Amino acid sequence: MEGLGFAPFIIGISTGALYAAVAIGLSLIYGILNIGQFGHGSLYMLGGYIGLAVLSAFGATSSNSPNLQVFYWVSFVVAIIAVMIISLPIERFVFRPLYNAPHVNGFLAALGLVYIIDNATLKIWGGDSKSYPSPYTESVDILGMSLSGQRIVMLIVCVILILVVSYFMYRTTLGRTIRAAAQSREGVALCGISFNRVSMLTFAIAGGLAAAAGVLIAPTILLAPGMGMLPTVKAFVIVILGGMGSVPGAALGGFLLGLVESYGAAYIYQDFFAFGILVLVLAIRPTGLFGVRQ
Amino acid sequence: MKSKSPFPLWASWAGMLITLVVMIIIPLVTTDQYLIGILTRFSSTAILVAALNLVAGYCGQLSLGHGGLLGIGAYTYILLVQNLHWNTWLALIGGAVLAAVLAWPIGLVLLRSKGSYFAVGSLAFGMLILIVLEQWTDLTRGPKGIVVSKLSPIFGLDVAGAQGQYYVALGLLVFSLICMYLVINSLVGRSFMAIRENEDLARSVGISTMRTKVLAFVISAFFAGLAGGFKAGFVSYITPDQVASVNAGFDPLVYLVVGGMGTLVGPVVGTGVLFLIPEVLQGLLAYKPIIYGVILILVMIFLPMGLWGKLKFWVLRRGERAAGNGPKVVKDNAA
Repeated sequence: MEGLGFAPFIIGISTGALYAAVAIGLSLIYGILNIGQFGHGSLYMLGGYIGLAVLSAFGATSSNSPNLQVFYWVSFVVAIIAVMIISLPIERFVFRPLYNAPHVNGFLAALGLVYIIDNATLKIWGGDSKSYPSPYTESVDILGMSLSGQRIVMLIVCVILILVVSYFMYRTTLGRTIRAAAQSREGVALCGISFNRVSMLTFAIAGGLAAAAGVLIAPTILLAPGMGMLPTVKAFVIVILGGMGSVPGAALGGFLLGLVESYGAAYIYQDFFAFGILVLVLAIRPTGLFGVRQ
Repeated sequence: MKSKSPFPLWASWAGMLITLVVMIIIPLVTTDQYLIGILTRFSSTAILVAALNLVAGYCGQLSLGHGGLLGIGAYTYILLVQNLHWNTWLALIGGAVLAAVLAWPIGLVLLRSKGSYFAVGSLAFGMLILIVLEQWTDLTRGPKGIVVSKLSPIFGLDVAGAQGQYYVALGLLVFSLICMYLVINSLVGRSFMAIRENEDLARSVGISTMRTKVLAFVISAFFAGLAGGFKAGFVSYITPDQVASVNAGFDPLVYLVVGGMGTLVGPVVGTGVLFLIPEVLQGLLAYKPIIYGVILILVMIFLPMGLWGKLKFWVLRRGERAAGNGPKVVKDNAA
């Protein structure tokens, strides 16, 4: 049985780590603004494209360019910073004015964001798929299984990012501030904390995580302007699984979905799982597995 | 938003009648096939937007999966005509009925969740339909597309030409809007609005919220399927991407929001503004999606009632001031 081996486990775990990184951002934003940031996957896509633009600027466009390893990580950092900066006006001009509006309005504004980001990308970089050179093309042998190096890198970096964000959220004052703001907007205001700044910070962290995921996955797939939609839906599935606003929940849900997809891929069209799980969870517990009953 | 206030109903009806008369006359005074083609597509799109309005605007359940329902209607029409040699008109109705029938179990599952959960759930449903249409190549011929036969003559009238199709689309639109009007002014329609305003309160006064929401979704699916069947019969060649892509579900939502959710005329106004203007100003066509995105965000922030909703609100308030009731807060619920 090929399908039950060690390789699907590593593939599932690495994909899951990636999903978790994307879903944590979505979850944080939902926690603080009560908005389903439907455009989150578009930021992930944007991260990939910005990274590729940085590599092109260095002239490192094929996998045997010199110093690719250095340039790859430079592109990784630049993409994260760029998307973090882009996230700030998104929070300020799109979502903040809608703070007191019905949730649906925020969701629709996020849909508008998808239109803008996806089609601006299409205008700037064109509609044809682009490949992202990887410095880790050689496969690695672990326990007799041959695995692509980029996947291992993706797994390690995503896990580090998740741990760093968890540490930040639960062990630093700034992170505690975010969690406090998610609980009560008035409460943090009374403590002299600017809710708007906390909200901006949350968007920046979420955007940075999405961009990091975009650059990490980019070498294993082809970049295309519409590639953010599926991760968005999957991130929603994960957040519904793990509970809105919860970092450990989103991480757990991410790994779970990644594993289910990778073990199931041998039997059935892969993307069915995300949707199937979504429908199943909504049918059993409409507010999510760990969600609070309204 | 319906109240006993002196909203000039006659003006609204007169406006609709004039628009209808103009629409009827257009093909008689112009032979511009291109214009007639655009207006035909406008009418068929407006049916889908009106269908979405019933579930999203009146019942408050934001569906992103109406592209999937459109696809079910379109492919049912095609397959009934090509494989089972049904009469095209029966196939058109068959597509609408099948969309409604499939919407029932789907609604039963997805409508248990609320707000953005339902939106994403319905999007997943739409994506599943697209996957099925693309992967089930034995039946649908997959992403390569399929040739469609046009609508056959009815009552001795040939409707395969540009003018015939135009009138069929217009007729279906008027039929849909009349049905919508009857539904929303019935007890069922009032229950939809009660759920939109406050679901718990609606349940407390004895409305079976789940059953009512599913009903809204099923009726909406019927008209979405109808729009899909007509679209299939109108274009002579169709691919899954044309009817069931993600954007096929998003665009009508944008039209609806801009026109005004929860108003009868809003879908037509929104479709008219956003669908027709880029068609007329060809230079804009390339930037259409970006403009849609900007408009959607601006409307959400500054005009959440939409164009028609705002107009209605404004007239309503003026009427009440004139009647000496003073400004009354009319609950803005574009959601």
